[in-house]
Amino acid sequence: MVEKSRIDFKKTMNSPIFRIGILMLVVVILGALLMPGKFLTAGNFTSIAKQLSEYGILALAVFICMLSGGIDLSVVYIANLCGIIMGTMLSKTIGNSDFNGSTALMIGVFTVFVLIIGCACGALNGILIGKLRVPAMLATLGSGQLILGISTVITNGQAITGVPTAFTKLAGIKIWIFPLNFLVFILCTFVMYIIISKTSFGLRTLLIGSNSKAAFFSGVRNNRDLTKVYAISGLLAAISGIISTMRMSSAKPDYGTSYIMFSILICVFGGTDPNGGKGNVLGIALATIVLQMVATLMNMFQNLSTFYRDIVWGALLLTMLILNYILDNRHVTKR
Amino acid sequence: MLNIKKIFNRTETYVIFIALLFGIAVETVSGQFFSNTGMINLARASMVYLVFGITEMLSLTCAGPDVSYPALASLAAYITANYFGRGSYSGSIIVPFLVCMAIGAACGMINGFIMAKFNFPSLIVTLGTSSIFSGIMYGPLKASNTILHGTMAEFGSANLLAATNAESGLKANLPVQFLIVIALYLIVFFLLRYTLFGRGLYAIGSDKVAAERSGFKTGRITFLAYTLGGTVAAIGGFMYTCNVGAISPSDLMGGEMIIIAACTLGGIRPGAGVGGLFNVIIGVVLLIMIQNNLLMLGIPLYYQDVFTGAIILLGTIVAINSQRTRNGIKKVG
Repeated sequence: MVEKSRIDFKKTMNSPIFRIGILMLVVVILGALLMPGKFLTAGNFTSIAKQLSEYGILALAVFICMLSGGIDLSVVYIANLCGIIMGTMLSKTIGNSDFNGSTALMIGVFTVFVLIIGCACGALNGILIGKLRVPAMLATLGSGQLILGISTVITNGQAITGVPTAFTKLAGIKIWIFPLNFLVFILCTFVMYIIISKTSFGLRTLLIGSNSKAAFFSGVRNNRDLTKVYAISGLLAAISGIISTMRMSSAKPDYGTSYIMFSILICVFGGTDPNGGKGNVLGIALATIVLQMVATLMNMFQNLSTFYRDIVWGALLLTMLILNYILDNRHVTKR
Repeated sequence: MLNIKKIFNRTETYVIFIALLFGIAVETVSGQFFSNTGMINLARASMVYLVFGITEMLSLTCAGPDVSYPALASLAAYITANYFGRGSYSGSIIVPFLVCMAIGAACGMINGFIMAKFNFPSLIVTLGTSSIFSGIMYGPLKASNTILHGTMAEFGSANLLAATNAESGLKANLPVQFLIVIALYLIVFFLLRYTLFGRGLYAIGSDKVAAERSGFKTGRITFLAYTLGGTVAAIGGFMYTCNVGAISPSDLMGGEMIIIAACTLGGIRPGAGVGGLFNVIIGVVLLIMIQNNLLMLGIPLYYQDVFTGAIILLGTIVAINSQRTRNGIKKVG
């Protein structure tokens, strides 16, 4: 009995979620000590929750692809395309009218339409990777460029501004201290958790990620499942795009290109194996929150240029990779 | 019979064919392509990209894509230009050139160390180092745009060749730096073809375990490849800065995708030990041709990304599927 509990304790020690939990605690304590009365406030947490949802959802999109042994570099461009289509359609139809029944219906219909577009872009990636066997990185690199081009053609290279207020007002909805954005992020995390941990599709994705040949010979239809994986990724990217347009009330073909790097950082930080087959949705959610906390904390130091953040992100990414590698391998050799 | 079949199974053949078709299309519309100035402009435009192509090729053959070189090149060129290009230095161009190379090599060693020590995807490692390099450049070093003075500026404006088009009267000139590109290609060609390092690079790319078993020091070779890559990228950054005549740290950022695209278009398979310098040249030249001449065909500039994306996708699909049939093996999974 005693033996068993010891093993369980060891297991928790080794899980990436435990490591992130510790880090979160450290960041919160550091924040409370360095910025007393500023960091630990409800207002600050609302702003953290508001900012993190866009790239949190993008990170989930990259996460499921990484789990299947690939990567999706086109998520940001899919998100921007979806945001642009949403913004253009809304300003063409609704204009300046107030929020009422008919505009709500319009917004609902357009949202579904845009989600379908995101899904289709993702499925295109999936077909390229599964059926045509283009390496995931190249396929999504090319499709990202193509989607960026399509967005540029739609907008003539300019930013979309003046998205109807009936739509952007929705970003202000708050339930207790949680803004709507954050609730969408939580919902996405929850659904992804169900998909990956509780469905056979999730299990097959993990199997493809850890050994695609073995998966194929045990009867998994790799092509079909990969198409689904990337379609889900595209869908999540579309959700992120819609949220971003709602919050910023504008959209641009090349907005937030650094989010690609950032969402990969979140995935690795959250304990996802970049070679595929291993990862945890909860880890992604926690990693997103911790990283936004660090960013907010660094923003509070006025004389620190924002570019120092890049150094911190890069260093964190590499340290986390190496740390996870060493800790996991120690575990293997001991066993 | 067999040889013809072999030629048609090669990616290179298709790429050259597409490039020729495109060139003829531009020639018929504008009449400016197959002229002396047209060719010199093409060489001038692809010069820096050709250098970065070497870096990318080294990384692609042995491990995978390297996305850190724009930040690396900018950082090395910025430090060098900031010290030697402010007007106070008037000595030989060799000194800043060597300094820039040394900084590039040091940065490349960081990539190389991590890649040699751990079995991580190169994309993720270089994303991390790229973020660090650009962070250092903008954060502690406070990089900003300035005009270049002194030796470096003179070196950038020196011409090797100058030509005037007889019909249109347009002028074009080729900078002296083009000699550096040729020298680099000769050196790297020699390294890849005739040294144990070069042979080992391809061995690691095709099968790392097999390479290790057959006696190649895989760690050392990977480390050397990234160090060499960093040095070459820094030379590219140096050339670009001299050529533009200004310190503009943000110019090169985001260029990594184009070079990766050019290399794969040219027929290099990421992490598979397939590819060479010739593939880099044809890939880069094709992409630069398309980017520079879309306007001449009467296509608006904002269509450029659509074309680039479509060409990358089509190119890789054709290349990969022709390779699969050539090998006669149908891979599963």
